[in-house]
Amino acid sequence: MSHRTIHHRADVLVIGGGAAGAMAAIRARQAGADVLLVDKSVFGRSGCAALASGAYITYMPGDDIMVHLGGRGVLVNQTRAIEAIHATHEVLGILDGWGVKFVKERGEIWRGKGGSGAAASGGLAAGLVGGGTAMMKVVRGVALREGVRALNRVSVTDLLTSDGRLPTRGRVVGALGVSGREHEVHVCEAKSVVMCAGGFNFGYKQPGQWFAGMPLNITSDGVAMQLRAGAVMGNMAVGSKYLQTMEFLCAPGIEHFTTMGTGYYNRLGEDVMQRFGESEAELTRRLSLGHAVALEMLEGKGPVYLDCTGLPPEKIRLLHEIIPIIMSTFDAAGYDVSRERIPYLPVLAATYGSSHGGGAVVDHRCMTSLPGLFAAGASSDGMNISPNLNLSWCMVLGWWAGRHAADYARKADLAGAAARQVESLSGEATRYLKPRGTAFAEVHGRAADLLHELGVVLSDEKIARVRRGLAEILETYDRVMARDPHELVKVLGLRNSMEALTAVLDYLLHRQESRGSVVNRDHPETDNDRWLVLSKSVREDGALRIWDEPIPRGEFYARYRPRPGKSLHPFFKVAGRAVEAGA
Amino acid sequence: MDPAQRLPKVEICKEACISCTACDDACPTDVIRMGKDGYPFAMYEEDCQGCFICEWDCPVGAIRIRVARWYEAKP
Repeated sequence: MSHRTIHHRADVLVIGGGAAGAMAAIRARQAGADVLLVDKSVFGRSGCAALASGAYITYMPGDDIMVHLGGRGVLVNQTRAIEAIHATHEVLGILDGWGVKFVKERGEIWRGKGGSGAAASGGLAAGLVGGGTAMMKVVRGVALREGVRALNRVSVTDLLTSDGRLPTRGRVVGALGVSGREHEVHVCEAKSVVMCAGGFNFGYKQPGQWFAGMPLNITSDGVAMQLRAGAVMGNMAVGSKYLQTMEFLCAPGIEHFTTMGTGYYNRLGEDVMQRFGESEAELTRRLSLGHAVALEMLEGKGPVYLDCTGLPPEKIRLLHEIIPIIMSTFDAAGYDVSRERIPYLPVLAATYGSSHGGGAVVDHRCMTSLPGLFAAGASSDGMNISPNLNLSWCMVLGWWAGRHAADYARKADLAGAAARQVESLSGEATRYLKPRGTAFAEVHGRAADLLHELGVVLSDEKIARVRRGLAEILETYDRVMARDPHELVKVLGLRNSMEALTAVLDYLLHRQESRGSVVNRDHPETDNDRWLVLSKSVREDGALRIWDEPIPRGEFYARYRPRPGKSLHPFFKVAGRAVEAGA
Repeated sequence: MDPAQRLPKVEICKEACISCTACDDACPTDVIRMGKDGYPFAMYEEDCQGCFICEWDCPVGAIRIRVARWYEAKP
């Protein structure tokens, strides 16, 4: 089947219509740029944001900055982090002004409370009524009123470059994509490009797989595209384990249950967080909870149950307001959360990757190492600031990126794409559409099995084995067949997932320590002497070259002194025989 | 329960549907298409993630997401 080629031009091209992309598009438009936003789904209904819990972590004037940054152990450019923390409040005001509905108390925006590090658990979040879904509807409306042009159901497959090459030594001049509905190739030329399609999830599912997470079509496209274009990437190993209901596909905002005073109990009725110590039990970050639940499962004390039965009705109502998707799921399945416990399992390795961690290294303007290419949200390394809830960070980074992308576009010319590159990328993207070949379900199943092998506790051997397995699948990926444009988008997305995951595994082998959600039995300690660094990388000749640079230290660093030396990762302090048993 | 039955199901009530395409326009994973009869149908139901966005965007309550409760163990 031949494809129709459709050409588009804009000052600023935004790839991805989630929180970061929407904010970038609006800001660039307000700065006078003609903006085209391309979304593989539907602008305002795609990305993590539209499915996110209504947790907008925000700074409030008078806050001690330590409360927002303290106790993270996260590898982050601290000067930029402080700017971003302050900007969350500015963006909160902008959203409120646009009519985004926040939970209010006596006319003031309500915010959860918490001690040091509580931002990571949603403790310092303002509540969005109707969750991210309702917020994105308002934000999309603002963007369209401002004159942002939206191109929906087009999956961008690769960046276009001034030298016609990937990786490039030139600048980024646009992007090429395929329609998920029609036999169409879309060529988008622009003076600057903002990448906002980086969220990683091991996409899609097959019946019986219990570790598919939501959103199902978030496949790290932005990260994979930037890898192929030769952008410098950062800290790709900073990932996050995800907690998932055993029965259902969704769990956005699960940590709200804990900050509201609910508990997680194993089959024997024991509180699973108690073993992780009082401070962890209070904070109950998503990754700690993931570890705790995983341990119970490994020790045969699962399933773990979410228990909301002690919550007063007003708290249940608040949960319905700020995490409507998961509460609706419970309702639809016939659970009465005020009377019944709900079985949970952790989704192992579902979000290993960039969703909550690394991406293209960006400067203070959110520009990547590639001229003309800006990145925000999960496509950038700016998300390292917040390992868990990061809606507000996405919006701040998008806001910044939009302004600077418009500035760049004002000074740049529309270089245009090389016809030869358009032809070759078009052919590469559509080659999977064929009547015969390896079925998507088969290749997805093989990749899923590999991910499952990673499990809770990593080892160098396990990482290397899974990496080899992914390489084998990718080597023969040409054989995979897409029956129609809808399946083509899935096939391209799965390839991106595996390419991004391969980079993550390279990073995991490089770092040789355990930190955050990364627990490796060969390197069970967090090593602040050796590894308090930013790990950067670039793909050269098909391989990822990784090097380390010191973390830029601002005045904040004088107050926040990471404890020097090595310390056993909390997981290994309590894991005991479960780790010996294999995990 | 058959694993396939664990996945979310899309139910469309043609009697209530006004063929406004809101569900078709809204679905993040592009499950829904408008049929030749003018009514929406779940062409790619295997990609339904049960996010409820179609249900919430439908102006007349003509679409429902069904979620199975299959895990039998009780605490």
